[in-house]
Amino acid sequence: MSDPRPDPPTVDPVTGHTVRRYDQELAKLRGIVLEMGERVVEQTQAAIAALLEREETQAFRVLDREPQIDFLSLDADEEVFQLIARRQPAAVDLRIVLALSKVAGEVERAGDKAVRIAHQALELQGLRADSDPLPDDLQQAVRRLDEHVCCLFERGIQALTTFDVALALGIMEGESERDRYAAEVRALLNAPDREDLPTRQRFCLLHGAHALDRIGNHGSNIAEQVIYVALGQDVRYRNREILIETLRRQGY
Amino acid sequence: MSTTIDVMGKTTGATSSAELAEQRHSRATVGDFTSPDARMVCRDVDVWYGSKQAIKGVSLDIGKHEVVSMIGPSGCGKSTFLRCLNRMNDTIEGCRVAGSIRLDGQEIYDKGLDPVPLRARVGMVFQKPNPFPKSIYENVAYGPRIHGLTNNKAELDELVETSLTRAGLWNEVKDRLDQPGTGLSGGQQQRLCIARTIAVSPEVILMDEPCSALDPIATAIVEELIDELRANYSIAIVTHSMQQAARVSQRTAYFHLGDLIEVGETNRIFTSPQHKLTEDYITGRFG
Amino acid sequence: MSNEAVSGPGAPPRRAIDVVNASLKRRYAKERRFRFMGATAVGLGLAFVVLLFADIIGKGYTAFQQTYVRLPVTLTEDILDPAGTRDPQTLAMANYMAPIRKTLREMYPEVTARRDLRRLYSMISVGAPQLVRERVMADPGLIGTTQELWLLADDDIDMLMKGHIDRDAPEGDRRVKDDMLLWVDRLLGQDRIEKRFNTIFFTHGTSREPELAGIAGALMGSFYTLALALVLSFPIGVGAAIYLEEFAPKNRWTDLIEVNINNLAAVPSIVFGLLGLAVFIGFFGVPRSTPLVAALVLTLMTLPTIIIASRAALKSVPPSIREAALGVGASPLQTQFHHVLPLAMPGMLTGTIIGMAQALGETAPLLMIGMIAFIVDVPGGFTDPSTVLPVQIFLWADSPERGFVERTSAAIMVLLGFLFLMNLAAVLLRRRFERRW
Repeated sequence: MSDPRPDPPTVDPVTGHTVRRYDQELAKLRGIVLEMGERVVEQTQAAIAALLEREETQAFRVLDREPQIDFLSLDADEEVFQLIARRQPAAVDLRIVLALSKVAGEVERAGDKAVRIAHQALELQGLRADSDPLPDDLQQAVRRLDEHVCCLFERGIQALTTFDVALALGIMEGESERDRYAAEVRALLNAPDREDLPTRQRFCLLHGAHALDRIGNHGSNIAEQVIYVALGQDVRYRNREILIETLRRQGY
Repeated sequence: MSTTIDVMGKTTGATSSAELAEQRHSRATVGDFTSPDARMVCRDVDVWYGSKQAIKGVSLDIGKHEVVSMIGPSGCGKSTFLRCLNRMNDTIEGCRVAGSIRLDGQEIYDKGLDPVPLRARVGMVFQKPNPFPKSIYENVAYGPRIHGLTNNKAELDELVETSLTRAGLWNEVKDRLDQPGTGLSGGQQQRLCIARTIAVSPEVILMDEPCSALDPIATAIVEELIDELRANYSIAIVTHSMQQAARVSQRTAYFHLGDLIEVGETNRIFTSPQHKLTEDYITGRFG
Repeated sequence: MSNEAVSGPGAPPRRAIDVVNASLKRRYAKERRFRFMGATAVGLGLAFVVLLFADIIGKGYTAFQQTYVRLPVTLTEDILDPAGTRDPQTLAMANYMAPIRKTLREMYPEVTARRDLRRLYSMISVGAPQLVRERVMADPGLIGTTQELWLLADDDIDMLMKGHIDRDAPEGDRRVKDDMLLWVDRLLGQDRIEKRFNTIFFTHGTSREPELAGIAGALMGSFYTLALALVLSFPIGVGAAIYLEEFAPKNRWTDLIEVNINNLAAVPSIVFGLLGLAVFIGFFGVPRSTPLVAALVLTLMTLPTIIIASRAALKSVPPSIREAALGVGASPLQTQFHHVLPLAMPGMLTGTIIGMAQALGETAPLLMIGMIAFIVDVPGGFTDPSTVLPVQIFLWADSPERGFVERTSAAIMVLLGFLFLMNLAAVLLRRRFERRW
């Protein structure tokens, strides 16, 4: 683990084609996916803010901005389609295109999750007539989860720029922590002695927290695609601990 | 070490990213060049043209019932290597071959071995369709005739028909067997050359860019034919078209400046090649 | 306006197409000039060829006709066969001139002086009796009868009939004297003199007398010589070419051989004659002035031409054909004979015909090996003494008699005809061998 990375990716993996237009097309596809990722992070943060700080406008803004992500995902699909049809990518290029196609899907679904959180925020708003803030312990627990998830997701998007295996492994290593935070939120909400929140409201929050957890999961899926591009091995549905240990031991 | 997860090093034996990085730039062959059911076994083959070394220590097996494709940039030695396999290089002045090439266990560069019968066992199809300027029938019948494979005209007729049928040409030419082979279209000429090659019942067929002079439809027909021929012959094909290598072959070998850089299942080579040079070539990043 | 380099800052910018248009006229003019020069060259060449042919044919066509005189000759038995045995030996030895002279004396009884009589007799060719003899030998029954025989006229009379002798010239400058003119006019009046097709020219060997000189000897000599030279040089030349081109290792020795073959093609032909004289006649004792030794010398001379042409023909066969043959397991020799040679054959034949045509027209080396000898008999084989067409032409051109001038031209026409036939054969053979690749 303490080894410095032996083969630091100094070259952008999408560049270097004899046909420079090919580079540009791959970079464009990746740019679309990166933009989608950034927007999803923003959406998530806005939705969580709406949920915890009870800002209705934030929630509506999330709903308004959702179609932009959908359009971007259509752009990404079109780009993938064109790339495969016109360039017939092979080897690492093929993996990049396929992975970016999948990542676009993951990001798009993560965006849906942010919308779901926003919906829960609005519903919560409707259920709570007063403007009392949520209980502190709950707020803190959700915020911890939110920060962690957003961090994981952002790192996943970041790993896409260089298809950095070490970064992707870091995301996978963060999964247990994410589970822990999510469990914490669930435990708080499910506590039988919780009297300060009515069941319907707890349900909304539970939904929101679950969606947040799923966004984290999408981040992990992105990490899997990063490893797929970098190493040419599909690592989905593998035992995470053994995978991480093996790759770390190999010096990543 | 990694018993449950073969993330890396499945075929290369590299166990760390450092080793892998080194391997990605080495000139030693990456991947398993052996075949479990080998027809031809080449080990440490060197070829010189005069003082210039064209092939540097190449080891490669050609298995039974498989198509091995050889790809690489121009001048990488893939054609030279192919021509070693039936000693066509003998005709080139100053060409010297070292190392071991065995066909069914027999060393083909043995002093005592006659290259003439060898070329009947290891047939060759060339880049440009080159039918003899004779009739279609004579093109196919020539090989069997000089080798005395048939006893009478009826047998020869039958052999010509089966060869042309196998080459997928019979239905197109059966009514004009006495017309010149050079009058056929490019794709038909190439299939005629394939029929001519299989008429002498070879064990191995070498193809040196067989489709480079053909249009895409003729190419597709020849590729389909190659796939069918795999049932009966070992086939080694040199091609400039990576897509073609990906389509027709089971194993792919990548040559670079006389070195065999990487060998492996075609599926693997075209999805996750391990050597930097292979990947650069396959993805079109080559200078 | 990217091409501002071609215009000044103030001038309107010129586009590249303007520059191109400006130069277009000059370029077309240049092209027209070149075409005109080419057409002129071809036209000039053609004009010279036409001139040459016109001259030769104009001079030579009269040689295909010969003047004959019809006389009623009584083939008296007393003179020709006094014993009456009809023995061929006797008939062959008989004096056939006597009946002819007798007839002449009877036709011109006014001629009595010895000198005049001799001139009268000289109107008939000295070869005429021989022709009469041939007829009598063929049909001895003619003896004792009087026949209207067409007798070969002397070459002077022939020239007169063909208009080559000017009747108005002073008598002293004429080979045909005034009285002879009168005699001839009388014959003309009696319809007893006319020009007929000259069979002698095609059936006889050369002679001192123009009217008796024929081309047959030289023609047959050329035929035998060329046939033998072809038989010798074609297989040797083609074999050498195949070996050098396809089988010989490329090293200093074969390089040396190649350079020497190329140089041999440029060696003056007389040198080959000297070589033939020294080696074939001097050392091996081959009989001189025979088609055999001529063919040997001409073979040596044409070999480089054939080898060079054959090698070029072999080189032009696409290597893909060789690869194809080797690829199906043909041996190198099978590859050559089944595939390469048939494709190279047209080129090889062309080379051979060029070599043969060169040999046909060759004179200098043959002079060295005695082909210039005066040989009257038509050769019947490779070892009979003979001469060849170009040497015959040279000899006739050198003869003083007026009759030989037209024969020289006629012989040239025969030579050209021979060449034409050879080229025709080459074209036909090439077409037969030529195939699509």
